[in-house]
Amino acid sequence: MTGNSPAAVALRKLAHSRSALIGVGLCAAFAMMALLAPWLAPYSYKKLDLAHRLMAPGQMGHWLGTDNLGRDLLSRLIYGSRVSLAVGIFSVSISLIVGVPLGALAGYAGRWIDSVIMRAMDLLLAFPSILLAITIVTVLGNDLKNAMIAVGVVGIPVFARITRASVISVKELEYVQAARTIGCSPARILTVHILPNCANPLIVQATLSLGTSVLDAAGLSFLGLGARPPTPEWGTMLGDTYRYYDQAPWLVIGPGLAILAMVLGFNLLGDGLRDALDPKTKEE
Amino acid sequence: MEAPVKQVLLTRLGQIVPVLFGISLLVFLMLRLIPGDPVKIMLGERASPAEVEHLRQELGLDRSLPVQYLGYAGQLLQGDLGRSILRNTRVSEDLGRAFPATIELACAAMVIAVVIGVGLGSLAAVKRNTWWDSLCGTLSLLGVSMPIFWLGLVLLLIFPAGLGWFAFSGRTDLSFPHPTGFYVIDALWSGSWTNLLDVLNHLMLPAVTLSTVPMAMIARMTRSALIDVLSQDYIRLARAKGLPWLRVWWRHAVPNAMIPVVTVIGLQFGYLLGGAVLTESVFEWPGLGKLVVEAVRTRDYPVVQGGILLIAITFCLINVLVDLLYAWLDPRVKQP
Repeated sequence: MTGNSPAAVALRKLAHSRSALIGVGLCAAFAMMALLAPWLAPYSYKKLDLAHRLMAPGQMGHWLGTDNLGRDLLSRLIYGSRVSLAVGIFSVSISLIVGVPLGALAGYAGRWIDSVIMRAMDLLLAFPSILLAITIVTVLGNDLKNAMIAVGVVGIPVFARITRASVISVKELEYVQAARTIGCSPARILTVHILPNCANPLIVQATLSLGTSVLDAAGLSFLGLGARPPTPEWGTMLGDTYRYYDQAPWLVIGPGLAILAMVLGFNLLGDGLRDALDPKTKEE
Repeated sequence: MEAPVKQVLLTRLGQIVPVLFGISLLVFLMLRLIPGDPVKIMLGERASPAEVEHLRQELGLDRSLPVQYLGYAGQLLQGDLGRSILRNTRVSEDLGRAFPATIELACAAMVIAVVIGVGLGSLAAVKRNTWWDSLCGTLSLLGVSMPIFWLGLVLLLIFPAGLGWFAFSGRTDLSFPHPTGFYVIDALWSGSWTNLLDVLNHLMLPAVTLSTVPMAMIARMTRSALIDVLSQDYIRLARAKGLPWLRVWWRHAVPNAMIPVVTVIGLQFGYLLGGAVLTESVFEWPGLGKLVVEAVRTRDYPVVQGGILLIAITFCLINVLVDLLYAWLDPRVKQP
């Protein structure tokens, strides 16, 4: 990490922040867990074993115990990291793919296009996020795919606003005017000259949004409006088994801690990236 | 009313009209966008053709879209939100019963969030770069990263199940009259301490659960606003001329630091309406959130539409109130 390029400086700042490193560590651990799930999980995540239901942690080789249908909790948590990471990445991709072009168009075109797009975004922001997600799931139907779409749509206005603000601050700079004078098309100016210079706030927001998407999707699944059993989604696992909390408290503790750790990882990484990408913070 | 506040009020009320129109349009379209025949989905496969036709007419689905919307908007303006498919009750009455429960829960959560959030944030600002500051930072981070439905379950596990403290679910175990629907007020009105204690016993855990996210945001904002204010020249002057610390704090630092904090408090109040959906489901709290979620599960669409409409409108009105409060608190806000 030598050199003075903005990326090298940002990486060095990130490497010197203890909290950001914890975030990187947590995210990397979950990514590895998701990739290596078939090798890491000691049992199948869906095989029922009613003879050994609600077993306490540590018994019969079940390190974290078993659930109400005798399935190994540790294996389900490990496979659950795949679902939650996929939910986060898929939802944030929807928010980015729709929100960034809308925001860029609003910021670059201005006038009535700006007004129409931003009023539509205001309308989406007029609903509390989980309620908007519930509305969308009601229309599309309750399953994991629709929950991911709903959480993605909820995130669109945030990305549109950030992109619009960045585009407005960049579009009158000299290098953009120069591109305009030599006859570049608006599409080329936007994609080649403006958007790459708006990337920093979007990278930070995307990382933080991964956390909120995982939380929102887990909330929907907990309410029975997202992933369906036997999918090992952490929110669904909590929603399915919390009624057994007096007999098997480990069924409540495990999935919740997993959600907390993953969201914490994304939030720490997002905060770290914000500081690292901000030219005003000094390198230690 | 002061001139800037009045101006902000008029501008914001002007801006809110198209948003309210948009909300009503979205909620109206919701039923029409559902793939398949919503009437058959609501009534189930066994419904007779006559029943299907009757409900279709009742919901106005046999007319053209613009006519349907005009009819819907007309009914809304009269406060008619239709009837629940499942219970055949008036949706407006169902919402009227659930609304005070949600508002009471949100207010209780906000009181906890403000008291602890402002306290923690102030402590972190005064004891900057000490372990108090780190503790406050860690708690705020945990607060925004924690799934609140899980926190609710853990609190249930520790308190009612483990220690036998507080109630598991519901709003009260006793029967007393509820003229307002706000049980704390009703219990006070009944003049019985037993009633009040029972209501608070039920309210405590859901309110603490719901308060975590706003508490974390308020603590963060209080810390950064106070650090900013404490480094200003007027604070240094107040200290230099020998004012007691408490007076500097109370008269000069806190009022100036509170302006951004109040904005966060207002915005977070809107969040509480959303967070209540999850909290109410955990604690079986008979509020709007639980009503909407159950209606989604049972496909009772008129209730879903009414609930979403009411929450979204309340959310918008709270945002207008926050802007007014901001204009009233900050004399610099001359123009909205």
